[in-house]
Amino acid sequence: MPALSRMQAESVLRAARGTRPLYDELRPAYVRLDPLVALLRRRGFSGLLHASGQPGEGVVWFDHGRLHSAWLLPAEGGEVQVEQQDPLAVLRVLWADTEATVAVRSAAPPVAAGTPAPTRPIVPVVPAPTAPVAALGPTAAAPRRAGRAVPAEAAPVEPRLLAGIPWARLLPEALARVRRHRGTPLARELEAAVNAVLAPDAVLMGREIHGLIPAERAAAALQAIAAGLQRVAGAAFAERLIWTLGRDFACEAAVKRLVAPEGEA
Amino acid sequence: MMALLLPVLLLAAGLAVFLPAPVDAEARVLQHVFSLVVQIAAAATTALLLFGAARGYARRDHERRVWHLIAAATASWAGGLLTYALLEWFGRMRPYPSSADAFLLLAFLLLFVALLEEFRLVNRMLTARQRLALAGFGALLWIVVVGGFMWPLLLAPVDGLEKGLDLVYASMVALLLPLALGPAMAFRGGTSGYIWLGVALGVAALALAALGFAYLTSYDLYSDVHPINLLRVLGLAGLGASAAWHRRMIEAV
Repeated sequence: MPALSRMQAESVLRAARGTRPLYDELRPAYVRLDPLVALLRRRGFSGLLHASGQPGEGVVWFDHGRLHSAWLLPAEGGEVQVEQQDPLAVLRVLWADTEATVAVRSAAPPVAAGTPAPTRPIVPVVPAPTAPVAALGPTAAAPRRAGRAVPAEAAPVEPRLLAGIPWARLLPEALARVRRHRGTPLARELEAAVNAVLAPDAVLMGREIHGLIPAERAAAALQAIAAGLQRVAGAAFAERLIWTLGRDFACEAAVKRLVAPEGEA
Repeated sequence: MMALLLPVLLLAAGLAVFLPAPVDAEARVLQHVFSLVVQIAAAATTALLLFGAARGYARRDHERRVWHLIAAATASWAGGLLTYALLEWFGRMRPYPSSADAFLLLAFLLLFVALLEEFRLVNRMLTARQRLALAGFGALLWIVVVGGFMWPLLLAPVDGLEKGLDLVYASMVALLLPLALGPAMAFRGGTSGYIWLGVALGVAALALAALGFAYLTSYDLYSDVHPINLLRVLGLAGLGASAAWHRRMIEAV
C-alpha cells in the first residue's frame, strides 16, 4: 500500500468535516455497509464515507459513484495506510466495532492516492446569489435544438422568485415524474446531471436532497432536467411536464421563466 | 377513452369475423366481405390514432417524426389491403405477388425507418449487453424463421420476384422486433416502456401476418377468411392502442 503523511490526511479530513454531512452519527449495528455503498455508487456520489472507532479512522473516497481509494488512520498513530485495490476492506474492519460512528460527506476526492485535490477545493455552503440566475447558465448537459426548445440560457429570473420555490421537494418530484413517464434509465441519467450541478453543496438521493442548495444551482438543475428530457421526449412534452410541476408547486411563473421556450421568456 | 376503446372493438370484430366457420355459401361470402372490411377499417383507424399521437408533439420533436412515420406505414398498409381487395374484386385468382405488395413493402420500409429513428434516440440509454442481446435475438429469429419455415420456398424454382418477396417478408420480424423492443427496454419502469411493448407486439404481429400470407399462398392454403388474418388485426390493434395510450399519457402529464 502506498503511504500518506498523517498530517496531510488529517488536514484533508478536517476540511471535509467543515462541510454539512449527508449522513451523520450512523452506527454499524443499524446500517449495513454494502447497501450504503451501493446506494452511494448508484447515485453517482462524490465525497467520503467516514467511520471512526476502536481501530482508528477509516475513509472511503467516492468519485462520481466510483470507489476511488481508502485511508486507514490507525488509532495507535503512525502512517496512514492507503488502500486502492479493495477500498471497502478498510471500512469492514471498522464495521466490526459496534461503537463506531459513521458519516457521509460531499467532498472532492483526492487526485491520486494520498494526494488531496489541489484544483477542486471543498466548497462551503454559500448563500443564495444576488445576481440573476441565467448569468450562470445551466449544465453542459443542455444541448440546443432548433425551433421551439427549452433554452440553454433562459432569461434572467429575479432571485426573490427563485428563493420562494421549494427546491428540495420540486427537484425530486421532477425526476419522479420523468421516471413515471420515460422510465428509470433516463431518470437516473438526469439525476446524475442534477448531482453534477448541485455538487459539492448537496446531493440528490431518491426523493431526498441532502445538503443546502443555493437557489441558482437548483434553478440550473431544473434546467438540466428540462434539457435532458427534451432531448429524448421532445420540447412539447418537456415543457408540459415542467410547467405542470410549477403549477403543482405554486411557482408556475418562475418555472416558466426558467424553462420558457426561446422567444417567450 | 373512446380512442382507447377503438382497438379493442377492432380486435373483437376481427375475432367475430375470422373465428367462426361459415355454415353455407351465403355466410362464406359475407365472411369474405367482412374480412376485408374489418382489415381495411382497422388499418385506417390505426393510422388516424397514430397521427393523433404524433400531434401531441411539437413540430420539430424527434418523436413526432417517429409517430408520423408509423402512421404513414399503417396508411400504406391500408392502401395495400384496398388494392388487394380491388384486384380480387376484378377476378385476379392469385393474390401474391401483386401490386398490393408494393404498398406492403412501403409500409415495412416506413416502419423500419421509424423504429430505427426511435432506436437511435434511445440507443445511449441501453447498455452494451442489452444491445447485444437484441442483436442476438434478431439473428436467432431470422435463423428460426428462414431456416425453420421458409427455406423450401426460397429453394423452390419460382419467380425471382416472389422469392425476393418471400425473403423480405421472412426477414421483417427479425429486423423490426428487436428495433421496437429497444425503446421498450430503454423506457423500462415508465409508461412509455409499456407503450413501446405494445408497438413491438403490433409490429411483430404484422410481420408474422405478412410471413404467413406469403407462406400459405405458396402452398395455396391462403384465403381471405383464414385465421392468419387475425394477426393483421391484432397488429393494427396493438399499434392503435399504443398510439391512443401515448396520446393520453402526453395529455395527462
